[in-house]
Amino acid sequence: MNADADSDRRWHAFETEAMPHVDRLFRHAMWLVRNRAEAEDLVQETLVQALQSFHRFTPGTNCRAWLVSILQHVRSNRQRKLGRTVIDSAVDERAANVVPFVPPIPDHVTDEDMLLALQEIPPHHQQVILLCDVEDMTYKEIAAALEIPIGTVMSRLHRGRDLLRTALSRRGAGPAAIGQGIETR
Amino acid sequence: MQCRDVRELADSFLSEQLLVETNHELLRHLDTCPNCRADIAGRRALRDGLRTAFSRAEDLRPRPEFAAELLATLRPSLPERPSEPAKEISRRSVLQSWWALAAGVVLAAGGGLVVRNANHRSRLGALAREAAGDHQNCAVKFTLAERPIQLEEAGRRYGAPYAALATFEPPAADGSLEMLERHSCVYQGRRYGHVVFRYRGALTSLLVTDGTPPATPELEPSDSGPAVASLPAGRFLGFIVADLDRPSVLRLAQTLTKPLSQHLA
Repeated sequence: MNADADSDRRWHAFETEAMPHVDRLFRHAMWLVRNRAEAEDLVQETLVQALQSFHRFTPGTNCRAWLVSILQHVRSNRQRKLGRTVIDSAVDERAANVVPFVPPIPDHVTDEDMLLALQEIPPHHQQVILLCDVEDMTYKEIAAALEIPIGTVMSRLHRGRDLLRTALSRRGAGPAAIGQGIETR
Repeated sequence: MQCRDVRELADSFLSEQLLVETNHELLRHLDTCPNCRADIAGRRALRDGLRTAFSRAEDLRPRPEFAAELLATLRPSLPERPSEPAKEISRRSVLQSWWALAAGVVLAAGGGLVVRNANHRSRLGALAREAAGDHQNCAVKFTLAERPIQLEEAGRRYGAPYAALATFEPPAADGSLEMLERHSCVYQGRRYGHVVFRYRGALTSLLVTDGTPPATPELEPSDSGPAVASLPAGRFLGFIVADLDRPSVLRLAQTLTKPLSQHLA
């Protein structure tokens, strides 16, 4: 196979596997950094790194999870360089102490309520909830992406969901029986 | 299973992370318990609501032209060769190591092919042991850490051949084949398309996974446990694993090779 054909084949494979995830990847980046230019830059660096190491990607595995893992690493490297890393090992314990009970989900919840409530909970819990509930990543994939044990993923997810319900109930007009659907815009 | 257990397992249930057996137990409890059903429905609504909110939020949407701009930026970043970028060997240092270079040339010319074949065999043997492990832990004991998913879903997430496996009917010349289950599962980090059937009275697994297929069906070494044969499955790697005598397993692999490869093509 000549070099051009090989290059085209590899580019086509990357384009097919990775590029369909740009929208989701950007949304994830945008949620993390809250700045459009920075999010675009983060996604671009993520995809450049993914392209450089695409030979390490195993076809048939979850490409979006692989890309999200790279994005998490790129972001955490950037934070480290900027000295923004916050190491707070007590965050889970503190969170546990502030969730005395799990309230029911309010009657009417809009998309905006949902995202504002998510913003109110600690970033550690936000991250795990996003990776699990929005990105559909397995506990193992989340543990690898965030470089934390699977047990920590599970406990953050559990507490995070409880915190989210608590935050939503503060925003809701009135409680409803658990199990009623969520009305969205 | 009690209501308390359901509440404890609810998160893992929603994330589809429970073992198959535990999942069935929980579902059985939900059939008879309206309170737990309501609790799970509430949690599911919360998760679905979050997913919807996230995917619809205008603030998080990329600019329409962003993807096209990315494509244009990324194309020149494609490395010339898909090599390991971490370690760069300078041309000068290689040329200075004449003896190393000469030894390498001799090795490549004289024994390279043998080494490559040996490496391939060794890799195939390791994958066959993993396939036997998946058969034991998934089809026999139901002890996988990750819950299997439907082949159709695996097809959407990981590639068309998984979905194609959902409709593959293994031919059995002597008619002694009873289909039991199909799904996609993960064992030791490797994803498989898994078809479980009873063949000549023995629980048998057809496993398809990503990997370089052998040219023809071959028996893999096994000290104990089930017999394993590797086989080509289109561009994928297939295994037959069963508690049968080795010649029977090889014959089954030979029978399946052509129809399976055609079906997954």
